[in-house]
Amino acid sequence: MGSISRRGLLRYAGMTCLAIPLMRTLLEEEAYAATPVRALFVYYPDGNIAQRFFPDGNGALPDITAPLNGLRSDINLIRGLVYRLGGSHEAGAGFCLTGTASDNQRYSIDNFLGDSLGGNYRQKSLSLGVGANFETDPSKQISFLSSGARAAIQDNPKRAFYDLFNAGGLEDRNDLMAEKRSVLDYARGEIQGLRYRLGTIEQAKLAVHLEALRELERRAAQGSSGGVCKSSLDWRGLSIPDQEPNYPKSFERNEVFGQVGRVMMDIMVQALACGITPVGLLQWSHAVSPTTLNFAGGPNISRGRHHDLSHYGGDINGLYGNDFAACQRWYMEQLAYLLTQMKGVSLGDKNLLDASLVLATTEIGDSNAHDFNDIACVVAGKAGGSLKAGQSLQLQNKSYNHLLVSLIQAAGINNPTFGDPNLGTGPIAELMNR
Amino acid sequence: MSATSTITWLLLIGSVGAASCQTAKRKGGRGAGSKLATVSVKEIGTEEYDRMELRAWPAGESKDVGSLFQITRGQGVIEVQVQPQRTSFQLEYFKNDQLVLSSTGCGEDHTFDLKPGPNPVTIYVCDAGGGRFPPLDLSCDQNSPLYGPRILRLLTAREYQRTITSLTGITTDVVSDFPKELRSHGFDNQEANGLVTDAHAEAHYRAAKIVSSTMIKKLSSYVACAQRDASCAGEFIRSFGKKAWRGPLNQEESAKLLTLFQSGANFDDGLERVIQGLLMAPRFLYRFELGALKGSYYELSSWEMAQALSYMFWGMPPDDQLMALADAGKLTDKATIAAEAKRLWKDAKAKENLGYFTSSWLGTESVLGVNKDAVLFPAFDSSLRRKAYDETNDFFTDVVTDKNGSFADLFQSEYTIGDGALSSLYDGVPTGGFIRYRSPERRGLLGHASILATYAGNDNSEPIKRGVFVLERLLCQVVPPPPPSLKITPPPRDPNASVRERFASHSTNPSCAICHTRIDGIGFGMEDMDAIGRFKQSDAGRPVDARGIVFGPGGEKNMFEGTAALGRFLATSAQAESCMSKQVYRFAAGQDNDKKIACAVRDLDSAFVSGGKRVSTIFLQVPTLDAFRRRQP
Repeated sequence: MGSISRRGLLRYAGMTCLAIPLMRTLLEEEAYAATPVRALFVYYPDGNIAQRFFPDGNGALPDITAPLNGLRSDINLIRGLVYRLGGSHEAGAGFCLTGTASDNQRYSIDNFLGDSLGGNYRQKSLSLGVGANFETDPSKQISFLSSGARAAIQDNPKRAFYDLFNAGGLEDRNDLMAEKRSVLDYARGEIQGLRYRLGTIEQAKLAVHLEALRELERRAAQGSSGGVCKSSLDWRGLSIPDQEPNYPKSFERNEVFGQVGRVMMDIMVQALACGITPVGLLQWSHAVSPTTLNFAGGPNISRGRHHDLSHYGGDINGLYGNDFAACQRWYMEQLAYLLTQMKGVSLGDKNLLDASLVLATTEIGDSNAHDFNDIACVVAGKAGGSLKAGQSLQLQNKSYNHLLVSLIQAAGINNPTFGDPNLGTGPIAELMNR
Repeated sequence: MSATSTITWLLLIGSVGAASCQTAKRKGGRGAGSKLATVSVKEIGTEEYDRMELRAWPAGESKDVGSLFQITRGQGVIEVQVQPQRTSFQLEYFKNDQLVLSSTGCGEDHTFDLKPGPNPVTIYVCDAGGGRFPPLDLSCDQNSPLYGPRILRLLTAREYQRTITSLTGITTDVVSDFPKELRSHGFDNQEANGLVTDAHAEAHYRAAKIVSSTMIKKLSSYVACAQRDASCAGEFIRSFGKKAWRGPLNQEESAKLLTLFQSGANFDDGLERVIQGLLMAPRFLYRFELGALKGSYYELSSWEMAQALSYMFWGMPPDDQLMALADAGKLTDKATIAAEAKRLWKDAKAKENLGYFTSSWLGTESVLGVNKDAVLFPAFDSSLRRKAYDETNDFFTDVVTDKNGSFADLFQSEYTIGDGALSSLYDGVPTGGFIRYRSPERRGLLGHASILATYAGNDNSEPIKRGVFVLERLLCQVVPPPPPSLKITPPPRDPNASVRERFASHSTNPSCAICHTRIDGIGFGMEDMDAIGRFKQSDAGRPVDARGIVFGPGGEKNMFEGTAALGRFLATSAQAESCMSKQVYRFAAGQDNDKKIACAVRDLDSAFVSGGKRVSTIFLQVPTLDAFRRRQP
């Protein structure tokens, strides 16, 4: 296939609202090349109720994970993973993607894989949030850059869409990045000069700034190569103004939590499918979540905010236990939607999910008990064949770091540890296909 | 645990001769260069426990990389050895595997620089009786820095927008998609959080592009010269550049920008690049607080001081008068600085910025977005929320500027600012924009819906949220996360229990009580106010029990009943007063490291006390403090 037919398809695309089938056709091209591995990390807040999350004695999924029933052959559920960590939600937030409790050494797996796999992509990794920045503070951050700086999470779906797909009325990013390189060169020179003049003062801050400008330059040089998606998107009734002077911003309002989530998932799937980025992070709210799950498309739970309900009081089948379970089940429904969308995208001889590794995780074990046991995560996808799927594992008090090691190794990076090297060497053997 | 024992402490003191001796023996095989640090642990004879655990780990690292010493009772003095480095400690006492005393419960940071050999180290442990609080002057000692650090302070999105508007007249929102600032203690301008990641740099670039293209479209408003050539561009760089960077450009800086101009396809294109370059440069994006070397310290330059003053009081770049004074080098003079601080304070622009301080400090912005049960609270709609939000900003500003009021006024005022809708929420009497409280049970800031509704649940009050708010924001205490060894199995939630009954398990379980006695004790006392700040008439069908307790600095118990009574306590609490100074200093200096600002806060606090405890004194004193004007070498 050549560029002429691609253009033809794009013209055709202008007449439809369905983006996913379009990509499926376009990406047939990639069948001729080996499909590079993709990684997607999904965070959901405030832990879980293990007994209502992990398969029961007969292997059946209880109510919280029941929405994943149709995807059993695509997922692994692993009971017995623990964070070797002290503290509460905040400590767990800093840990769940980094595998370390050390303030000085946090480098989360999403950015680690983005930096490792994403050099030839327009975006090394893509961080999208659904209310991830709403009513939060630095202690609840989950994503960290190589410098240890906290990575920004994009909560505005309109901005995310325009950035990635060069669509709509705002500034065209390719244009923004490609022209006037001289300005970036100039800015970089100024930071470098200042860094030199200041000696030991503010070195870390300026190093982070310099790295940011280099990344912008890299993207500018990348231009539109490494993937272009021109597509439309079903906004699901969302209307987001270009200017957001008010608080809360339109996309932060509790009422639209579910709609924003759907749109963000659609954007994420497209970005991964089109080859804009090899790595994604989708962050639902944040630790100690203030969301009330009574929005459109939600489970209609209004008795309390998410974190309030997570302190359900020890009776897992009590009034509040049931409310909290309904909330966490809703998050699993969203995960099921996301995985199903990925499965529906064909990348040559595989679907996007098979080409990817997916981890859905949370910052705490049982929020009610503030423990780090039985971390309720879901591992999905086959990472192009290196990960096994369709298993239900029962491990004994196994450090979660082994899971992070499994994932980076599945992505082809054979480091023996991830995060704090004292917290586990080597992958979880049962997950690895070699 | 004896009920009367509210303060329990343990000294870890390097035992001089014997410790060195033992260290020498142990390190025998390692060679003389690797001398370890020694601390010794003494038992607390008066407390009941069967084992203690001392954890030591390198500061800033994971606890798990450190060492854990488990020490059973009855061993006398135990010595432990760790690497001589900055080390954090945690000490916990157990009885029958139940945590009874914990250093975490005291809310202090137990981090020490350990030297080889014996080290004098004190670790406090606190029990369920409320424990002790860190002494107010704990940190300003011979080891505390006298002056602030030399730093670059990234403009916040709000400051960026106001700077652009002030510089160009452009009011378009150019910061809509700046990454949201990380807030510490509520403040978005904390220097350590001001890092430019790729997302920030991209947003900066986008904003610069919007600003430059807007300016180019009406260039005649910004460029005076008739002949649009390189020398015109040079003049623009000098004049606009000086405003944008809040200080003059040197020759090298101007030359680089002229080169950037010359890379353009034509005059307009070149100038557009210059504008973008100016806005992407560190001198625009950061406020420099580096200073010039003056003997044993660095002193902020007049330019740096001009910016420090204007952003502190107005949240925007210096005005013409500050610029002129800086040009003349006058802003290193204390009297001139004090006079300028007074001038800025009296300007209307200061009020708006004080409002921003207020909502950041108290976290009241949340009232605009917080969820409430619409069936229970139909009146608490977006209009009333906005009024409640404005009320607190307006009230604080009114007390500290127009009334030049005292700290106590903040908590004891019998009026607030708002209209009839807000007044009926409070059961007050509205008169000309003011509301007079009818009941003595509502007084000052703590009676505000913005606070009471923010720190509450969807359908009811929540003592923990209110307790943590008062401890952290009004008393400047550190509320630690639960200790790692804590195993909690809370009892089932009974939907028919009163709020107080729901949280009662916190104080009956000794492990929880270590921290929660302090937190809930305050929150319980605010049980007379419901989830949106109305008087609560009953709770689960029973009369409201608003008896509370707030612990003083020495662990003494102050009993109170009701929110207004808590306000009366805070109004005269030295701890709360000092906290006010600390919060203002955090905001003004962008520094949230308590140890590094300890001396500044101490000086501010004493100026505040000798100035009749007027809140304005705190703000006005900041710029003249040596700790602020001078920087550590």
